[in-house]
Amino acid sequence: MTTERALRTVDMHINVGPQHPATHGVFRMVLEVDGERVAGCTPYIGYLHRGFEKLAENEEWQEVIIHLDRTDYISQFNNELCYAMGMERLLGVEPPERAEYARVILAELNRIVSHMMFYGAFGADVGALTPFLYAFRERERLQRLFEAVSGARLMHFYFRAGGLKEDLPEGFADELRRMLPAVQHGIDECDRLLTQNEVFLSRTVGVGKLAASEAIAYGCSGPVLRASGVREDVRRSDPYSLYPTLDFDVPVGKNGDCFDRYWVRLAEMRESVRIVQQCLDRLPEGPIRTPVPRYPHFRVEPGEIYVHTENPRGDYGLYLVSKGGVQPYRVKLRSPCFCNLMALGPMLRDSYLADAVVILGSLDIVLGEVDR
Amino acid sequence: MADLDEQSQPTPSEPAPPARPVPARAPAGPPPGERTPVKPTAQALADHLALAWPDVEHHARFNFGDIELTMPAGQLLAAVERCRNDPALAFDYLMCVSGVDYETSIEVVYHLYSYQHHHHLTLKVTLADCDRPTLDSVTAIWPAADWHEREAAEMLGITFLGHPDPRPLLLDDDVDEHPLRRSHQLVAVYADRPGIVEEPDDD
Repeated sequence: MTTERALRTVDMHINVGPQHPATHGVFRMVLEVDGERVAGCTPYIGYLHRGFEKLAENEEWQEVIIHLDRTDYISQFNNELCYAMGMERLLGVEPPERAEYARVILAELNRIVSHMMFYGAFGADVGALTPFLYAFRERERLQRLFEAVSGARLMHFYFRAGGLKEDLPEGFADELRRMLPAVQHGIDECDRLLTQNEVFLSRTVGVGKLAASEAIAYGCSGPVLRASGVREDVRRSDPYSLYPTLDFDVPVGKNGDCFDRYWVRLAEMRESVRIVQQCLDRLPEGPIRTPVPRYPHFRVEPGEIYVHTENPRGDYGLYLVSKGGVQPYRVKLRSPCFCNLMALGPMLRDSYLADAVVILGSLDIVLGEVDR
Repeated sequence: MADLDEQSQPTPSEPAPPARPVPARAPAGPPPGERTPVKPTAQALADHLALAWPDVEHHARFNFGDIELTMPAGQLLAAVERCRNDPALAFDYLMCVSGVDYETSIEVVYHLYSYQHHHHLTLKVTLADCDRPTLDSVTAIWPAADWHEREAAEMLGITFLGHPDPRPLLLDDDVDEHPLRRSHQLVAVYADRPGIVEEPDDD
């Protein structure tokens, strides 16, 4: 290091993005590099800012769900679940049991879909293009199921305050039961394909380390936090829906490096399969929606709530304020990616420039959610 | 959209229909947040705060089982320092910072969590001066506040004193409006639906 310090001359600024395949969207960072090493990083966000929070103030309560699909557009069911739960608590209604089970099944399947997306993209970030194809094959299987459920591939608009828009399609449980072993097999295959690969290991192990104390200080959550060894999961620490009754583990990493962040997500997919399996075994028949009044009779009593769920990317929180009208008075979204991205600077410091893409990829950001 | 299509939509040419009567709801009781049982962790926290914070001016209430403190802006720094450093509180995770424009005042809300004690706390600061809302930055205590405060600053026009990097975050540098102020109106997309959006006066 001393020789490097002695040779230090002029720092160079390298602009990455906003249009760059490695940024997974429209994200820009200016890297300050000293030779091969990154000395500093200034992130610029907001290229995808659509004013979700302002739009939500001008929509009727139930309609806001449409916009939530478009915040984190890879884990739509999870977003919808968070908002529906917040509205239900404000309204003081409980969804029927079948709806609860359906929601948890869909949210966990969505976690698998989202982590598959990460798996493929992360492989590509490290230079392995084949995993991408495998990941998308697995993802597609579940996407088709989602399409059968909600009629849409991505923007589902399926959860409501009080339950679901409509019942699960006929034969859903049987189809999913048939599909689960294949999903499990797909995860194992992906695992075998990449995890032990020597080049992959040399690109990720020990790269982009984030200490637990730093992860906590920057408000990181989800796999990014757990990879640093903090066993914290909203499904366990602030339990909601059916999670207290379900048996699943919360995988944690040790070193907080890129490999651990990858490994934690892979392990989470297996836990999600376990959760789905348990829910399928117990999925009851019955009503799918507790009736609530419709617009323009739909009113939410004055009050406020902070509700959060464990999304694939972390702690997804919504601060909902009602003044008793047909619309929310304020909707504030606490985006997990937004907070995880704050830790990018400390993670990049003193890393190799070539690793910057890997480190950014290991955060699994969705810019739709960062920028809202 | 199936929910909405079932409602008859008045055409823009017709006069606005009289407001429909709102069906009677359950008898007005306490607000929903106060009907939820208080969590044991929140009760323990409330007891501790009542003893340990006699000198910090604050008002406490329970909302959805968790404790919520409202305090004047001057008390914020003293309060957050204790939140972070008092071993009985140990709030190490700043989950969210939200700004809310109540038109007569602006409120900044901090949602805190402790990984050690597994308890939640909501801190609220009311800023009476809507023209120049000013508040101390908490970035020195929680680095996580950095972007949240930058966002609240540009969206609501709040000045955070002592923020290390007060540049705009999500908006362009030359936007001089604060979109999340209630006075900032969106273009009326649903002008034909009563009670949703009022048309701005000026054309």
